[in-house]
Amino acid sequence: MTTTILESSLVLLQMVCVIIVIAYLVTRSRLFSEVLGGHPKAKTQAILAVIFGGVSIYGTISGVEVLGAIINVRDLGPMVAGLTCGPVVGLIAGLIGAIHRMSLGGFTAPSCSIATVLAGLLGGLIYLGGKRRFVGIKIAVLFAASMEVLHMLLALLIDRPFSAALEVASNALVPMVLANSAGMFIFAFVITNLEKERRTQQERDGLLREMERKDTELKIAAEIQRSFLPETIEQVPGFDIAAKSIMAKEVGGDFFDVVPFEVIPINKGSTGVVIADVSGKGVPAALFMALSRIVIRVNALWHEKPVDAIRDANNTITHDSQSGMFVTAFYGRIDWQTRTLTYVNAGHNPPLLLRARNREFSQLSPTGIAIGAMENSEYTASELSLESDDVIVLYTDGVTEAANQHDEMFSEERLRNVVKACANSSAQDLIERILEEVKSFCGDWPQSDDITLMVIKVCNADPETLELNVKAVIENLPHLMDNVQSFMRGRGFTDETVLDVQLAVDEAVTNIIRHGYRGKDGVIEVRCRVSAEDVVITIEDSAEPFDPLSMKEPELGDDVESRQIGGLGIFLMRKKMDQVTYEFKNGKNVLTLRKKTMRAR
Amino acid sequence: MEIKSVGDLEIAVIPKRFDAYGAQDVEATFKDIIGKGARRVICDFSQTEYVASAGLRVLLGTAKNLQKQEGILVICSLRSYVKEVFDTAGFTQIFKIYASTEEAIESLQKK
Repeated sequence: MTTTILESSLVLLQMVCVIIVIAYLVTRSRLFSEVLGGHPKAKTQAILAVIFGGVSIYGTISGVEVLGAIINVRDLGPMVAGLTCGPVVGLIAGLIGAIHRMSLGGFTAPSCSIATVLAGLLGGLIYLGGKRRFVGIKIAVLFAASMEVLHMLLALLIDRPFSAALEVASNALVPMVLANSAGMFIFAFVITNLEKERRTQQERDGLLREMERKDTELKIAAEIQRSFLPETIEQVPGFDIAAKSIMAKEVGGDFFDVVPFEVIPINKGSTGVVIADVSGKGVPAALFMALSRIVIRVNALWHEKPVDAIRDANNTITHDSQSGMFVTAFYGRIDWQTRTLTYVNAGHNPPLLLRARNREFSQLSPTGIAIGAMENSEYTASELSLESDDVIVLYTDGVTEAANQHDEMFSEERLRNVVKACANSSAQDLIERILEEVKSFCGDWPQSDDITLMVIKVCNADPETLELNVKAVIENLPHLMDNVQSFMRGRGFTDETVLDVQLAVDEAVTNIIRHGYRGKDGVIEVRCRVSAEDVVITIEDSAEPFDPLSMKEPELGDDVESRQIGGLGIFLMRKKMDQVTYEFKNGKNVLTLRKKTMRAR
Repeated sequence: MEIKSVGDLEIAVIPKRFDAYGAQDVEATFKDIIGKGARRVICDFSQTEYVASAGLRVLLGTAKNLQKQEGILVICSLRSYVKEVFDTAGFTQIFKIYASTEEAIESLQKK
């Protein structure tokens, strides 16, 4: 029964919609992405062959009568299978569709079935010809159209009676070509889109990998620069120096930071201090800071006078700097003996000096322009003498220009207030206080610039002595050790030296209590004397004459069962101290411990 | 001395100065818990600034004691200065040393 064109069109439209859904589902499945990858597994190919065979069967079943002929898209499934997966898959899909068609009978059965198989095979050959890549929308649609023409020719060739075949073929040709071309267009469109997506993803993955690689390289670079640009500072005898730098968060610059300060041990008796600030942010600025620090350090070690050091540093840096970058820097040279500070300020924020005698501030003003700006710049130096309890605060403008949400700046005035209020704190504590104040001033407002602070406190000059007389009981050990510890700290010793001295004194005193006095009443006199070169501790007691150094060294390295700990205390004492001597003098045991302090070369 | 129990493991927090003074309390506490049946002890040195020979003596004595009773004493969280003293005294060869309490607990719980 002939149906109207409108009804046929609606049915065709339905068919097209189903094709769209099938195309979308099949091509977006995991199986298909293997195909797009170019190397689908055998199992995947088998499954897809069956799926497309099913599509072919659907094509047969959903056939609709138009103008006296049955229009169907049986060939579509095998064609797509062949075009995307190759001749084998196309062939199998075609066979599935063909066998089903044959089972339905009818005088066009042979030609239709053969056409279906051919569709899959030819599609596969095109796939191979296109070097295993999808041939694109135009060729696919052209192929689909041609295939249907071929189908019609086959019908004319094979189906009998010829007159019936001619009538069917001539009626069906145009609709078949249109339907299958449309179906193929849908598939090809979806597949081409998919391929585009995959390509974009691969590009993106490639870019991500490269970014990771660059990240790793930057991390390695950061480690290398940290090894020759230390972030910790050496202590200077007679001074309490602390410094801290908080970098503003920067994309890509999180780990490549170069702290912009340094304490340079120049020789026996003088130390250089540097604080600097580079124009700009990020990795280029960090590299420039690294360069500048090294150039300044080398010149500081080479030249006697700070003026010469900065002049030469400026010339070197200006000469090498082509990027227009410059660095403001403050370089001061502290002479421990004379307790003077000679400095050059190359365009840097003038450090604050709080005098202990009158509790008033003065500024260490610039004595020349920033380094790296101009060759042969002239610099001058200023000199001042330092007194006990004077405080010098060096800073970068990240401190004074720290802003809060009301657009106010922390300012030098607030900085001065904090310093004055905490003038008696240790250098480290003062820095923490300043940072706290800045943080609470800014609140939630983000940090926009690097914040760097260095505090130099001038300590008491005379090589002081600690004298303690304690009763010879174990209970007094903590008190004695606390005193030794706080005496040693803040006198320019490394933490390790302070611990070494504590350990040695602890052992010596314990020995006297246990083996000297042996529980009897007695007094132990401990005297610590610190000088620029060493610390000397004498420990005297009035117990029986006993030379602790006469004990032999313990055996080391046996297992838990057989170890004996004789003489371990003396052994540790000798290991930690540079010199241990004993004498019996004026009726007293006198043990002298001496440790050379870690000083400038 | 602070002691924490984790299962049958006793974790002892060694004081800031493990010298003759600090060792008194440590020794007494160890005697006490071993007497009550503790056999597996982890010594946490995270608070310890230095160890003197008196401390080492107590450590060794306790370890010997435990070993006699099929127990074990291990060490964890040594600061670098203390580790150095252990090295100097040859103690790193005698004791099992872990980087952290967690590691020590995990390792002992497996046994």
